[in-house]
Amino acid sequence: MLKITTHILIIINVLCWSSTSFAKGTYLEPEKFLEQVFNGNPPEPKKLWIKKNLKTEIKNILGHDMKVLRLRYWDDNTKRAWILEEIGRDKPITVGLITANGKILDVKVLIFRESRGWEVRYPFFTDQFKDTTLTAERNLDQKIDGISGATLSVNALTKLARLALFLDSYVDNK
Amino acid sequence: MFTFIQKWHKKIGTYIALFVVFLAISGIALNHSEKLKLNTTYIKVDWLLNLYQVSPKSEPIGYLSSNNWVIQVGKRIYFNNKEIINDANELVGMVKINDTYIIAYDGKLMLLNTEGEVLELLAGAEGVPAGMTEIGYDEQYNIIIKSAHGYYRVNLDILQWSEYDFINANWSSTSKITEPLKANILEQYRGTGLTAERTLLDLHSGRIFGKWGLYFVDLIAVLFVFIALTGIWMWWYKKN
Repeated sequence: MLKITTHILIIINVLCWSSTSFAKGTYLEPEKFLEQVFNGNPPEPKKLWIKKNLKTEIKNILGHDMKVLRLRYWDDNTKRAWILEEIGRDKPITVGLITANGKILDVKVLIFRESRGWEVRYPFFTDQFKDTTLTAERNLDQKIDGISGATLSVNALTKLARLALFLDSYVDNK
Repeated sequence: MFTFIQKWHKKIGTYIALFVVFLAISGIALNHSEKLKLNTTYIKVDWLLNLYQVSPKSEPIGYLSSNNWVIQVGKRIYFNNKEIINDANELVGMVKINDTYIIAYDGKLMLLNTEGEVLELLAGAEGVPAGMTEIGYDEQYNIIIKSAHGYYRVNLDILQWSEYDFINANWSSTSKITEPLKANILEQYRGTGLTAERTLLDLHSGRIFGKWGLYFVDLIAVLFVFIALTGIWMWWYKKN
């Protein structure tokens, strides 16, 4: 009985260790993400100054001020790529988002630094953002199903999707 | 037998009642640590900070540029006495070009204005080379980066990185930090080094008192099991 219990405990321990050891890390280098998006030839990045009016709108979406006063984005006239960060629980999640014509084309989690909630990296979750647009209230027009145990990461990605769509429309109307 | 079990059930039950209450309350609090802001509330009690040895493992390292300091303490980086980064491994240096301070660390460049506000953070996607070892500027006040693969002259406005075999530059180098600033930074470092969540978690598990604290909580847990089993047994005994 003791032997069986010991084996079960070892298996649980190994499973827990391996799941957390694969959880954190760089899934895709930001520069590789850009190469993938623009078929190996990313355009020069453009600058977007976070002016006062923009700052207020961003705060409404994120729930806090953006830490930087200037953002870079990549635009080849058919689509735009954004590399944005938002804190899930304690640490920032780096996400690559592609937008075009007011829609999200793709979302990829590039760097995940938290110990929980990493399931948001999988396509079963990120694919939900494809073709979403922004409503007049700056919400996504489609419901994003959460993941049990990853609520804060889900919230962070949803905020970034809203932010990318908002910035996309802002650049369009500039 | 029944009387013996009942006597010990009552005795142990009374002794561990307080622990049950504490573990239940702390458990609920830990389950809602974000809402209760336990993860962003910092402990300021000196003896607890000493217990956790919340002090940097190495001396602060500082770079001075145009009367402004960038200082690394542990994994944190401060611009003068304002914390700007909290997960840095290695601060490389700081230069000031026009009205912008450029701080190099961990393959990233952080740009600050003269008020210490973060203009932007540049990394690999913006062309920052891997393995930065030094940052400086040449006679024309261009930023120069020395990295593992060579030297780069940078135009941050259009993010143009020109690679060279060698470029001579005024490299950013460490300076002796003034004592008042050093004391201020170290006080800040300690003040944000231990969260209430961590302390409560360690109290909940007993880990705060080292391995004996853990064994003690284990013992309490075994007594919980004893109370539960003897309670069921006494109920079953009386019923039959």
